[in-house]
Amino acid sequence: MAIDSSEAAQSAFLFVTEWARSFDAKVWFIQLAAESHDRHGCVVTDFARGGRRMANSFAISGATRGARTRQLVNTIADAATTYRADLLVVGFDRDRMSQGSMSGSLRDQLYEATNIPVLVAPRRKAARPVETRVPPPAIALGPGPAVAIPRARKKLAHV
Amino acid sequence: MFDQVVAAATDPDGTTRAVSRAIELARVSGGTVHVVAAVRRRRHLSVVEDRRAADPGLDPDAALLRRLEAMAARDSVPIRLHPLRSEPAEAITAVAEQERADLIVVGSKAERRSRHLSDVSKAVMDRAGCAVMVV
Repeated sequence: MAIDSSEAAQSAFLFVTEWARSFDAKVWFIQLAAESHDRHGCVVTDFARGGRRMANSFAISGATRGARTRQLVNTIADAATTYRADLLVVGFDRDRMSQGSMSGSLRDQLYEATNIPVLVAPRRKAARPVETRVPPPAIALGPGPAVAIPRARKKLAHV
Repeated sequence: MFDQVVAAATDPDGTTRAVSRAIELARVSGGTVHVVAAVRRRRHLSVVEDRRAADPGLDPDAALLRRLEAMAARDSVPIRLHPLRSEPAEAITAVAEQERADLIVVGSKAERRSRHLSDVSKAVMDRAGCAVMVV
């Protein structure tokens, strides 16, 4: 599952969670954490930084959108190959997915770079049951603020 | 998870892949497969199309739909066919919306070792509110 930090990523996460529960599937996430316009383009993963066995977040940089898209595609395709994925779920911002460059949009390139089915997560968030909280019954501890309390008369104030 | 799965019948090769995958997912989920076979509206019917209209046995689309029905019957998956004369992506998304589909499965072009997203797949991805799988 490849995601960024957009709203599409949230709905993709919910979708994949339900998928994994239904089909008893293993899910591996790869998240685009940062993107910069640095002229010297490169991909930085948490594998390189933190010494983890597999990267699950990465940052891309490149002067042009086409260069950054290529890095994104290559990183995701490599991850899919590494994990022998059966399905690639994409949860990127829809504009990012469809915006094209000379070599095609992100979704075009992703589909061409892999040989597995590509699933674009639903636009809307998965319906979740609305929690209706019933307030607990109030405990009677004496007169409420709406009840007028008779004030003591001056001559009885000393009692 | 997938109560209603829409499979797009766009071209014979992609259709078989899409419907097979849709049947597989619907079988596991206990859902229904909706096959949308949409062809664009044409201004002038050719002589061949006239003959097809007269004899449905000659229509390759009808033959394909019958084959898909047989595929679904083998796996005991309920299938509903939606043969429409409309722009394919529009028809697919309209049926998905009408049936409150959880997933649309679209087959795309596979030529030798390379594969490309078709225009229909791209349009469906742009318009659909539910998940779209391209196989």
